[in-house]
Amino acid sequence: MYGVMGKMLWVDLTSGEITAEVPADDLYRDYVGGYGIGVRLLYDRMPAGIDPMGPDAIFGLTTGPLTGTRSITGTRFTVVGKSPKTGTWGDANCGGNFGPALKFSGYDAIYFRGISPKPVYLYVRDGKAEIRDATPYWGNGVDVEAELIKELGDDVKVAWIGQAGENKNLMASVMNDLGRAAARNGLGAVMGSKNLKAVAVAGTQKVPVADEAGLNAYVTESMRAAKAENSPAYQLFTTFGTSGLAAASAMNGDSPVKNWVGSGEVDFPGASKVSDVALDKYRVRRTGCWHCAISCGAYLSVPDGPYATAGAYEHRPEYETLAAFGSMLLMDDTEAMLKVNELCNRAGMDTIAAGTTIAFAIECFDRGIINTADTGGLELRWGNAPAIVEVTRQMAERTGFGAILADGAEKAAERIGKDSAQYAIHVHGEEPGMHDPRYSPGMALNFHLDPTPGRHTTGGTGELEFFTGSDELPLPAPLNVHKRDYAAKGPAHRFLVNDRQVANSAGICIFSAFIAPPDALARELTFVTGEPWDIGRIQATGERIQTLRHAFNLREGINPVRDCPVPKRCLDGTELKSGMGKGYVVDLDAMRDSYLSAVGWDKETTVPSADGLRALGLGDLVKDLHPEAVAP
Amino acid sequence: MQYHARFFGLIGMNLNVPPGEPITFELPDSASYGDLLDIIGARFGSLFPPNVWNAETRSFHPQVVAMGDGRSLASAGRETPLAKDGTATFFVPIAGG
Repeated sequence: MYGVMGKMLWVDLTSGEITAEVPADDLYRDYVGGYGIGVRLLYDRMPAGIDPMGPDAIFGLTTGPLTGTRSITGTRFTVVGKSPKTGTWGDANCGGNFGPALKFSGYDAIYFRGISPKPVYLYVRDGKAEIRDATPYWGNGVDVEAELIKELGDDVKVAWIGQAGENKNLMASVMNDLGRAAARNGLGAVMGSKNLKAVAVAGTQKVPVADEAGLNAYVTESMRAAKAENSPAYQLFTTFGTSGLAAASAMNGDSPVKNWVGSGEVDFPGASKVSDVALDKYRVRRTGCWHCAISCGAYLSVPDGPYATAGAYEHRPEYETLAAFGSMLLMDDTEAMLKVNELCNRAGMDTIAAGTTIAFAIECFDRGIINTADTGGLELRWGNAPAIVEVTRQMAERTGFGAILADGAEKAAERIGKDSAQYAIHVHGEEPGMHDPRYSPGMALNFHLDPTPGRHTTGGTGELEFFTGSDELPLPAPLNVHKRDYAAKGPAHRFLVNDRQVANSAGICIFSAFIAPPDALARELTFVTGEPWDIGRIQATGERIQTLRHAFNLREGINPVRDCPVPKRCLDGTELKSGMGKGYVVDLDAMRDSYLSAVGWDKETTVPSADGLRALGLGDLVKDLHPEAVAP
Repeated sequence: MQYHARFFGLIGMNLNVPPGEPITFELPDSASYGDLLDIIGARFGSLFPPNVWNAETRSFHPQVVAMGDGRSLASAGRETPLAKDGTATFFVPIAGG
């Protein structure tokens, strides 16, 4: 097989046994890699109903065939498991430098089960794997990365958890590259539950590419064209990264404001203080993921003052962070923004979940549901930067009032009680991404129906509605429907979701779509794997992966129609005072029915038909989802 | 009539006004989105970063989104009438992170 190392590592942390497995070629062909292969293996090997932080839970670090190749943005790894935050399928992907290094160490993925009796890390170098004592590093945040590199060698790359993961905070992320986060679904808590502090990898093995000359020529020409065109999106990425969007999104209604009830122009006039130009004043240098031709990152430094950076520099906040701690909390203090970003990255904490949970707490404080006696003296007011910074620190450490908030808005509402639950904005336990469906209606479908609830990066019409700003989806007929033609959007959503499943599983970044030619995914998969990939195969494979992710949840007894409602605040724009969502009410039911019809899932139970499962090559799922069809 | 415009991120970085600050334009009554583009081009065309503004077609690059009066002005086209005292925002949308 090309594009893959052909081996996966299985580590039992209870017994200490390490086994290398050579998967069948069909696994790679049918499920690509990343969470595609991850969900296939976990569906088969992890029974329904297990405790996501118990010994039977499997946690994986995975790559795709494009990871570690010259493909445009072929940098990403994906963490997989059962989410302790939602009880659903869990995955999160991340750039940086760990993914390529994992493949160079000789493996496409590493899966862990069991629980170590003491803190450990796994060290893999050129095919040899060893469990080592991590007791000296327990309690560290980002510093564990530098310490392991110092101990093991400069070529070592490290995936790690910080204090949030150690404390099993349900918003804990898996980190790498000094603060890049596989943030969503609380999978850092799963790693922490296993007493697995870090995974350090290094190696000299090369990813086999079927047509290396063809890939190199294609990528070189594509990037030459992108640089020559020098499009506004390319310039924005390389100048400001995703921070270049924050102020505009707050003003237009793309960013949720004030725990999803505010309006940017009215409630957050200081948006530009936590966006692009304002942040750029603190830039030390630009940075990017491994060999990325876009390189949208930057390191920033606050030299002194109450919010001075702890290290020489820290990653620039991404858009999602700027919205979750900016417009959501009405916090426009630039240096405080950099500090909360640093606290979350150093401790390994999902900034979307953290910001949204603090917004919930502030609204509770504002409404008198909690007071300073509950918060340990913290004046949790809108925009009160010192209190916001302090409660973020407490959440990472799971101390003080932060311990109430450390597991997300849903759990915080359970702890606070007093009818506070109505102000906790989440979908089945997960705080939604920072793109408002009242602006981009299709985003509500992702929040509602993606197997990782509240998700904003798994494809669909919402992203396209936002990226283009167009009322009509820029797709070929008959997919080119108006974004508010709710009952007609299902086929377009299906097409875009399927495409993204393959892109995510292949190990590339969604930002490549702004730079690379439209056929880049198929072309690069063909060059790398040596197999013919076209839009038809991408669609069929993507639907297989999405259906299996969904089936994982169905087997857990989760039906999104019943269990994953999207809060009314995210759908009803009649009270908004400004922004593009003003006056609109998103008809999620109509969008859902349209999508479920398009994919052939039952409109009430969301169970795919038996014939549909067989057509996707998922006939083995029929016994689980249609037991009546196989009953004797 | 008066109409306002806000330029964010890449679009506004060279305009010598605070980022996102509304800039007011005097336009004829019943002015259209095209009239707004014309006056923006005359005043700021040379200040936008490369390839953001097309002086020949007097329009922004297709990746530049223009939202105003509760709609996508860029989608609606140059003939679209503007609301008196309204505000358009111009930005390049990317997302994620």
